[in-house]
Amino acid sequence: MMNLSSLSKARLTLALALITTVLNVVFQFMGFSTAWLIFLASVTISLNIIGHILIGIADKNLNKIRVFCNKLSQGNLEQRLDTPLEKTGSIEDVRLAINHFVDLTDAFLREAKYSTDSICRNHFYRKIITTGLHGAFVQTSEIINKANDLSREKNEAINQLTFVIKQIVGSEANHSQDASSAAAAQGVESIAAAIEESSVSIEEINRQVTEATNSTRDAEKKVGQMGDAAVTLEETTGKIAEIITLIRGIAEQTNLLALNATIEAARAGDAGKGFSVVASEVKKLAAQTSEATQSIVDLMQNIDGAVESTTSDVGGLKDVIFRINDTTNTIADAIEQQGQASKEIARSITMVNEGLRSIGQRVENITEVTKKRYPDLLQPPHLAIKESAE
Amino acid sequence: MAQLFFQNNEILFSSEQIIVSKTDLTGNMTYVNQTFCDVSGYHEVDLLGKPHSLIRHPNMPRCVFKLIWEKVQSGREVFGYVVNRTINDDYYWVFAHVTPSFDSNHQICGYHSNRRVPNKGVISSIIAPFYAELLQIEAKEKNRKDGLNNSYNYLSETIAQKEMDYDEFIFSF
Repeated sequence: MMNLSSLSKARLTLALALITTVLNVVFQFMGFSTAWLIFLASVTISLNIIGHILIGIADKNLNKIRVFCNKLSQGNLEQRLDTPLEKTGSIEDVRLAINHFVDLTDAFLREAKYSTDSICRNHFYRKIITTGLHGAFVQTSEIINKANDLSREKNEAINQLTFVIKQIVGSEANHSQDASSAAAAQGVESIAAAIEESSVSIEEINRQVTEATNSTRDAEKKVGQMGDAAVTLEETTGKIAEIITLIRGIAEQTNLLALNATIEAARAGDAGKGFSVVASEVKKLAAQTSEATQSIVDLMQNIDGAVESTTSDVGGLKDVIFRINDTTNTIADAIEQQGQASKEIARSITMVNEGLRSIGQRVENITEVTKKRYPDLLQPPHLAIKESAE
Repeated sequence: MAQLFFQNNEILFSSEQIIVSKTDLTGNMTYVNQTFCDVSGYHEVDLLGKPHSLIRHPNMPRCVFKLIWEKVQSGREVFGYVVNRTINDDYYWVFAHVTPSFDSNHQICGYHSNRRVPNKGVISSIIAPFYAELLQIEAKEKNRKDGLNNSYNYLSETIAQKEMDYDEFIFSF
């Protein structure tokens, strides 16, 4: 009797009542005395009363369980059926089984609550502990833990992105942004100044090269004139040589005439003596003329050598001037190209400047959007995570 | 390395089970589950209404309870490795998760503890030697309060050196 629940006890009592009822009928047929029949009837009635009382107790306890389950349905998981309903038996077993189920549900909910709350506060080490849980509780826990892992990964990605945005936007204030754009602007300015300077010096070089070209042109002209003069000199010496040949012929003729005069003077005897002296003097003059022309021929040869050498020098000088001309032309071409390149660079710099301005504008836009939508992002990180106090 | 000394037997329970108890605001037990009774050896009616310290083991440093108590009173959850005493003076290790219970007005109305089977390796290699150290610190001072303060400071410093908070520290094993 002791190990049974009120319900089992009631069942036993009613079974006994059934037996006494059957005995009562049997005793009536067997002709037992009325006293026996009354005794059995009173036992049956007593057993029925006890059975009813026991069923009443069971009903009361089941009602407690029902009320408890209703509270559970309202989401009140703090309470338990914390005092034994009966000492032992099936109703007490139901109490323990319900408590066990509520314990596990409660354990799962507490784990889920704190784990999820941690995710909300960006603490990803707090995962659901599945030890002691079973079945659907474990399956759901595993999904939440997976969500935890994914949140951690996403959080890391966001942190990296935040870092990049901070780099672009500038962290606490916009000092670094100002500094970097100022540096960029300064860089562009100094490049522009350098290009300006270099184009000034290119102009100067250009001017000098033009002057050098003019000078070589003059030199070329003068050398041409020198060449012409040498040719004229050559022609003149040729004509002088012809004249000398003529003079030489005259001298020979004179010498021959003097010889004839000497012979004629000798033939004339004493009368021709004076004439012979004159002839001899004429002969001397012819010999002197011949000597003088020879000297002129020698000098002419010297002049010829000098003219020849001058002509050849003028040719060499021409070559040198041509080479100088070539070189200055090459320099002029290079300078022209340099100038073009400088212009190209200047144009590129303008574009770079425009690009920088446009980047600056975009960064400003990013900063504005970030400040408006994610004001915490530009704060130091420890302010971004707010502890949620319960 | 300091080690804990246990006179009696260790009682083990299954990782399928959770020991559950609830207390009121003063720490008196208002609910214990069947596993609690099975492991501790007490009967349900002998535990209800009694302080939780009934099952406190002398090898448990007081500073750990102080820390757990402070955390849970501030409304937070707290984890801890705890060694408890059974009715027969045997002992059992648990990994306790203590949480406050809130009423419908969001006020703390009691405390709840789920205790699971701990990792044996963590107990033997980290927790037991560390607790032995803490116990030594607590035993050094004649004044119990000074001993508790010293061990509590040592516990806090040890965690601070790892650059973690207590929860992270517990989950790092």
